[in-house]
Amino acid sequence: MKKVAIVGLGHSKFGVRKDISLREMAYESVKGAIEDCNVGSVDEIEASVTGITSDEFAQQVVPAPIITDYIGMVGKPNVRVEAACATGSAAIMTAYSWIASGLYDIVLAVGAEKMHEAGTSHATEIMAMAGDSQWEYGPFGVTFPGFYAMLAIAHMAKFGTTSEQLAKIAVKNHKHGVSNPNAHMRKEITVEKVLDSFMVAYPLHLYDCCLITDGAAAIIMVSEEKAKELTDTPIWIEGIGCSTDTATVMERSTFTGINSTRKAAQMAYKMAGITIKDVDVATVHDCFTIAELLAYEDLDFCKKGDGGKLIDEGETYYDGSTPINTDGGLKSKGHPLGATGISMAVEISKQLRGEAYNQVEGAEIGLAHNVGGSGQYIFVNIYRR
Amino acid sequence: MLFGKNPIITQTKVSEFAERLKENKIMGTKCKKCGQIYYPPRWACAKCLTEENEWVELSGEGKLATFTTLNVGGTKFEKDIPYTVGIIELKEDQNIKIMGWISNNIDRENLEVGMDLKAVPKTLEDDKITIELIKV
Repeated sequence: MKKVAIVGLGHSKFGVRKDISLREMAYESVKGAIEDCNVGSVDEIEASVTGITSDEFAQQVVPAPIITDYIGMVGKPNVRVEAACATGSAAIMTAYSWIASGLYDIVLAVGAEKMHEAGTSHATEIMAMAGDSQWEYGPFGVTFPGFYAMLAIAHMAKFGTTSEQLAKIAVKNHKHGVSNPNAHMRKEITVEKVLDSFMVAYPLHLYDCCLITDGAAAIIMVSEEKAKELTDTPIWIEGIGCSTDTATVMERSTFTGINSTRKAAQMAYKMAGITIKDVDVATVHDCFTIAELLAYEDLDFCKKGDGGKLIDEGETYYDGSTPINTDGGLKSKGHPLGATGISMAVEISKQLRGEAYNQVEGAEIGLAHNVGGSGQYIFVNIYRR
Repeated sequence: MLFGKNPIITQTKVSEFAERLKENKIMGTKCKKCGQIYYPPRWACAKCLTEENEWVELSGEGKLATFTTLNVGGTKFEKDIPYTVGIIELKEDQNIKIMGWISNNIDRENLEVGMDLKAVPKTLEDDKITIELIKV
C-alpha cells in the first residue's frame, strides 16, 4: 500500500448557524482546506468523499451532489458514506484506501451536518433511530443519551465512578474549547453547574451531553509523491482501525465499556506499529462525558475501572500527561455528526504541526477515536508528523 | 398484535413473538444447528446463516444489569416522560438480556444494579403489547 498524508485542513465555525445552508457551510471548510496547502485550486483534486449522516437533518435525500456541485467538483468521482456519528471517519477511511491502492493521488474528504433546524425533540428522535428502531427505540423509547446513561449506571455500579468525575470531563473540555474560535460553546463551566443542570437521562445531566450543532470540516489527502509538492508539513496516516458492535445495546457482552473501541484500537496500534504509550495527544468521542471516560479505558490510556481516577488527577488536560480533546471535544466544540471525524483529524493534524490552540509541546503521534451510534461503528486512526 | 409502544418496524418473520407475549410467554429463538439462543428473536442464525430455528421460552427472571430514567424523549415518546427502562440478565444465561419498562410499582429511588426483577408481557391499548420489569 502507498503511504497517505493529510496536507490541507479546513474547518467551518461550529455552532447554531442560522445564516448559512449545508452546502455553503461545506464550501467554507473546503475553501479553507485548499488554501491551507499548495494545491492551488479545486481543479487539482481528483475525487471526493462526502460524509453526511442523515438525510433527515439535511432535508435532502441524496445530499452529497449539492455539495459536490457547489464546490466545483462536477464530473469527478464522488461517493457519500455514512457510519452514524463516525461518518467523517468513514470518509477518511474511504479516501485513504483510494489513495493507498493507487486509484487516485489527491482526494478531498468533506463532512457536514446541519442539525439545529430539526429542533430538540425531532433531533433526539432522528438520533435515537440510529439505534435499533425495531427492538429498542420503537418499543422502549431509549434515546441516544439513554443508551449512554445505561452505560454510565453500569460503570458506576461496578467501579464506583461518580457524577462528579463525569462532570470534571465536561469542565475540562469546556476549558479547552474556550481557546478554539471554531467551538460552539466557548465558556468555562464548573462541576457544580454540571451537577445542577437538568437531568436529561439519569445519571446524565444537560452538561454531560454534547450540543446540537451545525458545522463542516474538510481535509485534502494525498499520496507520498504529491505530499512533497503540496506541503512542508505532511501528517501521515499510519494506522486505521475500524470495528462494529451489535445493533441492539441489550445484546452487548458488556455495559461497562465498548468492545468495538477495544478491537478498532488494537487494529490501529498494530498497523501503526505503536502502543498507547507512544501517543502524545488524542481526540476521543465525548458525545457524553461517560463516553470519554469509557474511551480512556477501552483505548488503554488507563486500566478498566480507572477512568475516573485519570480525570480526578487532571491528567487529560492539554498540559497533563495524557492530553485528550484539546480542541474542546464534542462537548464544547460541538458534534455535527458527519463533520466530527474530519474535525478530529484537523485538530490532531494541527497538534502534530505545532499549530494548535492548546498546543501539546513536541507532539509527534496523535490518535483520533470516533464512535458511531453507541458503538455500532468505531474508527481509531493514528497520525504521525 | 404488535410489539412495543410505538412500533416502527412491523413486518417481520418473527411477528409470532408478539402473539406469544399475549399468551404470557417471552420467547427467544434457538438455532437447531449450533444451539445459539437469540433474544430479541431472529428468523436466521447469524453464526450458521440457517433459518432452522425453533422458538424457546425464556424464564424472564434475572438481575438488573442497568437502567435509566429519561426526561427527554424523541417526538414519539414526548407524552411519556419521565419514563424508566432497564435491561436484565437472565438467570439461566446472563448472556441473554431483556429490555423492558421498569414497572411503576418499583420506587425509582430503590432501583439498584443486581436486584432481582422479572420480565413480563404487558398489554397496551390499540392491540399492542410490551414488556415490563417487575419485582419478583
